[in-house]
Amino acid sequence: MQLEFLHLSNFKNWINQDINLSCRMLCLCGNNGMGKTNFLDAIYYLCTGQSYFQSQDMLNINHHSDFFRIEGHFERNQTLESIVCTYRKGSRKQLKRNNVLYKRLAGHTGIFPVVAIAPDDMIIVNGHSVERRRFINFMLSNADAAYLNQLIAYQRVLKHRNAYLKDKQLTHSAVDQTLLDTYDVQLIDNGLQIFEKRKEAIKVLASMLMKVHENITDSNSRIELKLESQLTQNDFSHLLIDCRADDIRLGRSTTGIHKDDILIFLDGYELKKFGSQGQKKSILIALKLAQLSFLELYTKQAPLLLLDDLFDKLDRSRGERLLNYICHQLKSQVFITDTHSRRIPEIVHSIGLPLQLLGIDNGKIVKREIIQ
Amino acid sequence: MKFSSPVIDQAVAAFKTLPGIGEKTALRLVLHLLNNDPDDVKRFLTSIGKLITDIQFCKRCHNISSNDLCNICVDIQRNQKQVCVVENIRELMAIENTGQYQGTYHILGGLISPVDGIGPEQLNIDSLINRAREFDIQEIIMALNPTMEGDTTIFYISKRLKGLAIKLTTLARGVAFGGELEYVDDLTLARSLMARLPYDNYLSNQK
Repeated sequence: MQLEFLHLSNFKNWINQDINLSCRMLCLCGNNGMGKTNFLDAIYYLCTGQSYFQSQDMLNINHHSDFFRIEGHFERNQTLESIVCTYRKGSRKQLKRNNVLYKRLAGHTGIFPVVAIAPDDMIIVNGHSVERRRFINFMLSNADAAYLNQLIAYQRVLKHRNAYLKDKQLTHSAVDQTLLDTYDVQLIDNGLQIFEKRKEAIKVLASMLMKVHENITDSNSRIELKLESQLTQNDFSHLLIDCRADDIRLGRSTTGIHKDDILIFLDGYELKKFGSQGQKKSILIALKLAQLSFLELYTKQAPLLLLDDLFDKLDRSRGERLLNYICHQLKSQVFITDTHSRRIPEIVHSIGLPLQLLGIDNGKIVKREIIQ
Repeated sequence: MKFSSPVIDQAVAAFKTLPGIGEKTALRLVLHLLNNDPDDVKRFLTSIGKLITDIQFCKRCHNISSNDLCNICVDIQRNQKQVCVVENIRELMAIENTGQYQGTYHILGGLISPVDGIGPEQLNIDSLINRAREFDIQEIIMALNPTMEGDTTIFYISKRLKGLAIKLTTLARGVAFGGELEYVDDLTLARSLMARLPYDNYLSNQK
């Protein structure tokens, strides 16, 4: 899968730009605040229907406009496909594939897989468990459409159950145990399937992670991934019964797969607690590249790879190893941003792959060059 | 909009409370009534007034009725041992219009949805359970929307009915009549496949 053409209008500081993309490796160079990250985000929009950096679409509209429009032409399984994403203030975001409007954004998930790596992603390693659940949910939803439906159903039941518990807590009225039984059955039904899929996915991901990490760091440290879930040791239905009194007292659901976490161990020690900045960064990149391999395995497409500010916290030799891995081991089209205009082209040139260099200045492409 | 008389103001405001009526339509209706024969307007008003005075809800099934019990609940031609549970009166009418159903109804008045502030106690569920006990009901047909809230409600009622010898059924879910298979969504098609019917059965349903 490859992006061959991109058009941006009023997307952040990109007022109006058409660009033909002809290489597998692309490097976007420019100073800070010129729109490199926005360019990557536009591609992410086309693949997922949403932004990687902003939760509100509104904030991605240029200050002097009231809409944005992104259009991309992809080569996918030897056919040309167009994706258009438009958002106008006050109306619904629209996503069209080959001029057909999606009724639900979820219908687009997993068709044009993408993996992005940005400096803020360190939160996946350092942050709360919700960040790692988001990571695994993104991965599994893209790989397995049924997972997404089960997750949506689970969250909907959970929302009702929590609303009911909260209401009873506030009004101090008696709880209908039969209704909780009903919700529990629905939670178990979807929750167990989600749990099994997560468990299986983490096993596959862990073996991919080991390989990638070895490749990009030349260390033979042992990395393990572990799904930490209350469901590992206990039967979900027993858990729900045991926690019911607490749930009623606290006014929310305290057990289930919405409490899951993924622990990362480096040579037996938990990375979040004991890892250095450099170790965390390498493992994060390896984790994301393992995710890419996982998506490729299940979607049968080589996902696009968006690397924002690659050399953040990486020295030159690590960077070279990483690019070597990306060029040789992956089939993905890769978009890399850097503030240096020569660093990445030099490395890719020495590896021997053609690269398209795009010079970016204030929402415009001011230089395009293909380095053979 | 400013009107010349506060009476008109009030009348327009009253019409605006109706579903699908905006300010301009409300004014058009008010002016239409003003220009009409006063006797016609009085008849119009009496018929609306009767909604409050003459209509009540059936004590048994919560259908609209002019007596304590509705026409369906007192009809001895209908199977009083069979109850079809629906969300509201519009759905009752939809099922009545099929002309295929000869049992009685029970109107819940909504679906269980705590996010919208609706718990089981806000619905006519207790009266359904009591009715099932008292009247020796043999079958309860759940004709609720195929949504998560609908499923919750069905599941909840089935739990409350546990221990009673009642046959509990739901509407069939699957490929729509006159629909084409290639346009049916995956979930519906998968369910239809799981709950497929023996062909003999299919033929007898066609008659």
